Amino acid sequence: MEKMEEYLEGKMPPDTKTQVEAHLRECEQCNNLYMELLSAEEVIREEKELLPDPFLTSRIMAKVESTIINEPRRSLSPVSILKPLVITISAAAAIFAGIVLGYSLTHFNNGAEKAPSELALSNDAVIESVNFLANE
Amino acid sequence: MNNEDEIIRQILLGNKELYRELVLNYQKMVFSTCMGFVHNKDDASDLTQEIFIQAFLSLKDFKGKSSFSTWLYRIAVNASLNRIKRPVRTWPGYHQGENEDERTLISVADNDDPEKMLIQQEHKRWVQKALDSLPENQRVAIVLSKYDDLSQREIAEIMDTSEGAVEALLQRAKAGLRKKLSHFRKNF
Repeated sequence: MEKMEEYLEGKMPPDTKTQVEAHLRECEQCNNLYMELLSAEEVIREEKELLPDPFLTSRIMAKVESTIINEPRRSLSPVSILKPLVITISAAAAIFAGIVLGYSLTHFNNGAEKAPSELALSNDAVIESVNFLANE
Repeated sequence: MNNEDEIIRQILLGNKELYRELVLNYQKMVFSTCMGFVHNKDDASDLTQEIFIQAFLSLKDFKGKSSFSTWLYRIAVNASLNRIKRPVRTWPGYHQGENEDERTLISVADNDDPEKMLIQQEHKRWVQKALDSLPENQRVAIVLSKYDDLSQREIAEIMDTSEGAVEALLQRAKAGLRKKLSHFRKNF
């Protein structure tokens, strides 16, 4: 069988080829197999000889023109992993600081209505009449 | 840096039109490979288009460790294997791998011997079925050998294996084909 492959592919030395051909003339089974393999090679040859659609290149290039070449994929590095994390944490911290500041300002404004009593006296001193102060 | 490397570099810089040169150079090669798997000119054309688009989108990942043709062959083989694994919608009378013209009635006016024509078509289907029935690795090796006329060394590089392994695959594939063909012949 292996010799038949060699014979089909034309890779046989001339003297061996002669022997194979003599055998094929005498052995019907081998000859039938040879013809079968030969016709199979013919089927493959016919398929090989087919040419692609003449407009195939144009179709391919039309699709190529409409695509975008992406940047080469970068390998993962500690910086590429940490950078988005740092940005997220910074944004969260800024929001938190804003909330705290806002709360603090609100709290301070509310505390001003509860000034110490000394401040109340000094306010009263402002509105006391001038005559009273002069009699002291 | 050879001319092809320079073309690829320019394409990645944005000069897409240069890709046409690669398509023209390798179109027949890819098409023949596809024919070995799908046995149908229209399907092979569609698959070839798909392969070249995939190659274009993956061009940025081509490192140059192998030749461009080897890299493209790998894409072609993988795409072809994925295509044949896809379920095919069939209808009564449809045989995958046949061209439309083969499924139509044979015009007596066009052929002197329609019976001979039928026998030839049936035999062609035998051969295609025999090829399609091979295990995947054997099928890849035999397609690259028979349809692309590649050497065992070239096939080994594409399949990322040794030349010895390719030789063994080819021998088993050919033995399998012989067995299938004689089986078909006995049953016809």
